[in-house]
Amino acid sequence: MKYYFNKITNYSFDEAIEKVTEELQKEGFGVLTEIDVTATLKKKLDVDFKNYRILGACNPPYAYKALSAEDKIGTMLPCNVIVQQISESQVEIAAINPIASMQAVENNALGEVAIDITQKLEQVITNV
Amino acid sequence: MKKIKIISMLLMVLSIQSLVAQGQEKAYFSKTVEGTFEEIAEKVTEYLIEQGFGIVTEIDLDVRIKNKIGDTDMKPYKILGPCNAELAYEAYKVEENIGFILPCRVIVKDLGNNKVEILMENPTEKLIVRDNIELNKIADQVKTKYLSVLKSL
Repeated sequence: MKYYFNKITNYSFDEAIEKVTEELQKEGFGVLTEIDVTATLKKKLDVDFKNYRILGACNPPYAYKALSAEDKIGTMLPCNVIVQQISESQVEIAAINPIASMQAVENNALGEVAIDITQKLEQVITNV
Repeated sequence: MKKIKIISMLLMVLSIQSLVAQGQEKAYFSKTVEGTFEEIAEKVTEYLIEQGFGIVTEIDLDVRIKNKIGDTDMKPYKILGPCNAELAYEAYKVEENIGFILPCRVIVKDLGNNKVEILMENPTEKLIVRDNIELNKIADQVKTKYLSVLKSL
């Protein structure tokens, strides 16, 4: 099973972040965290790295459902969405596949939530 | 010749055994300690920083959920994202998709009655890491640091 969904776009880096944030919102996800990997690596290691941002997307009602079924699920939250510059004119937008990553947690009650969230994230990538 | 064959077979059995042992490892480490939620959350943060992690994300999930769906009976539940930039960069050089599981998640969870649970992902057991020997070595360093934090609590 592929553990992420992705799309290569012609957006600029900033446009891609804006677009994916907007599509996430339409599916009920808020962006709770944002890591500017480029800036962090520059600051900590003085490395020149491509544009790379990790967004932490979370749909609170679903997170609550998931937590009620399995209280350890917080270790999988939020779901990572990665925006990265892969060439001068191309930006990749990718979202983790929660079903693949939740396999480690054996809890059948989670199944339904995982399927719903996975469909929503896949939809986001289709729509960007 | 025969000796070499036996030794290599022995080594194979040993490595298979260690693989099995790895497969049986827990996906999480957990510890329950006494104290207030704020006090323990502060300690966890402090010990993680001492071990060389920066806390790159922090989510009060209970607050986020209450803001969205109204009052719940959810107790304080904090998700910390500790990240060691050096090890993260090493990991990226081995596996470009490592960003999907960064930062590692550490949960601080109020159990009530002055009890707080700390839950840490076992980095060597993440799917993307498990079957990658190089990545496993890096994750193992993270694990050692985590276990040391848990021990200090």
